[in-house]
Amino acid sequence: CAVQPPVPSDTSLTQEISERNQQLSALNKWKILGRIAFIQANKRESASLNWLYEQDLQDNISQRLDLTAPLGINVLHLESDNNRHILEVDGEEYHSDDLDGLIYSLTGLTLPTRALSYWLKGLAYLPQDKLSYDKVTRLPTRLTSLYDNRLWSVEYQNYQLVNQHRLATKFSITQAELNIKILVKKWTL
Amino acid sequence: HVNGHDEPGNKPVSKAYQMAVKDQAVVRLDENAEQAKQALLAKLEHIKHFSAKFSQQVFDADSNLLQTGAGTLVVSKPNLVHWQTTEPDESLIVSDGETLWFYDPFVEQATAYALESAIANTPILLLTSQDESMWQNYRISKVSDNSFIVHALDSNSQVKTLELSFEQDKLAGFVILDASGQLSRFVLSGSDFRSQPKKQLFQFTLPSGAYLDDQR
Repeated sequence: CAVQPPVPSDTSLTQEISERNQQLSALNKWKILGRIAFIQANKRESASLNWLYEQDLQDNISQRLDLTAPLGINVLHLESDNNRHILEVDGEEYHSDDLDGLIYSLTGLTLPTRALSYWLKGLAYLPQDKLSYDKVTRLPTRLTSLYDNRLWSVEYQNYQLVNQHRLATKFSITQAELNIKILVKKWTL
Repeated sequence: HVNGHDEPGNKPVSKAYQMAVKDQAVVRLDENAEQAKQALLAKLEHIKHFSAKFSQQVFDADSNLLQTGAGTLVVSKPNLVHWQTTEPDESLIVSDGETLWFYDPFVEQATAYALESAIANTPILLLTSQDESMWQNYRISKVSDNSFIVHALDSNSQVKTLELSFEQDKLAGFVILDASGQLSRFVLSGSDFRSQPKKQLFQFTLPSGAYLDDQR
């Protein structure tokens, strides 16, 4: 889908920035059903995305992520419990305590999975991450970060109210040649 | 265990006898597989073409429901398929008899595969093929008169089994089990096994601006 013009700000979504940051920082259990695409200069891939994420008070993360191709065939299955990650790709199973390193070694993609779990909520991950906000709704329109000394930029195209939380339903993450497009059909909190 | 044999209490049998019994079983298995294949081919012989709506449920390896889907499926022999998914996302699969096209509007890309090589990962294409050699990389087992399981012999095929279920010789649904244990159940409805589908359904033209990923 072509890049649409910025969506007119839906004033009902307006929320004060610090209040939203506080609310979303406390949100540590969510599920995303949607679609994800990895677009690079010479390769484009997309799949249905099912991502269940939970972070407890001791900052332990358990997550389950499934990428599914059109015929219902699993393309990637991830299970994480604390720092133990099990990744199933192309019929092989990999165990690691460094998920980003494992994803890089398998796909050549640098994916900051921890940072992503903040960025997709429209929150800074590094203190120096910069956000710009919509004049009316005060919701993030763009985030830039120098994570891993690379320039990451996240564009938030539209938002939805999900049990009082304002969550992005369409956003894209760009880093040099890599563009990751995420469309969220359903947030479940 | 009785001196090393697995079945406690059985009298020990010679290795040769065990091998003979095993071969016997394998032979019987092959006969059943051959009969099952002929029975399935006979059922598929009735199906020249059909069009139907489908609803899809995808379960992960622990049988949690991951997602649901829907769309339309049109098939015509030989090797013609039009598989339009509308839920959860738009995607289109067209086989024009030579090339299998996967169109994904989300990334505005079409991927083209040579049909023969694509069958290994899309056994549903077997429904349309009249070339019996296409079946050689599959083994068939018969669950009942109306249900057959197609097992991929190629161990690194993405699809492990495809279960086909019929109602009075009309395909009613199918279940795809993939190598990771994820299972996709399709139920057909509003099926029309009589009218000849329009030819244009099986032609694919690359939408303007879309990227072609040619894997042929």
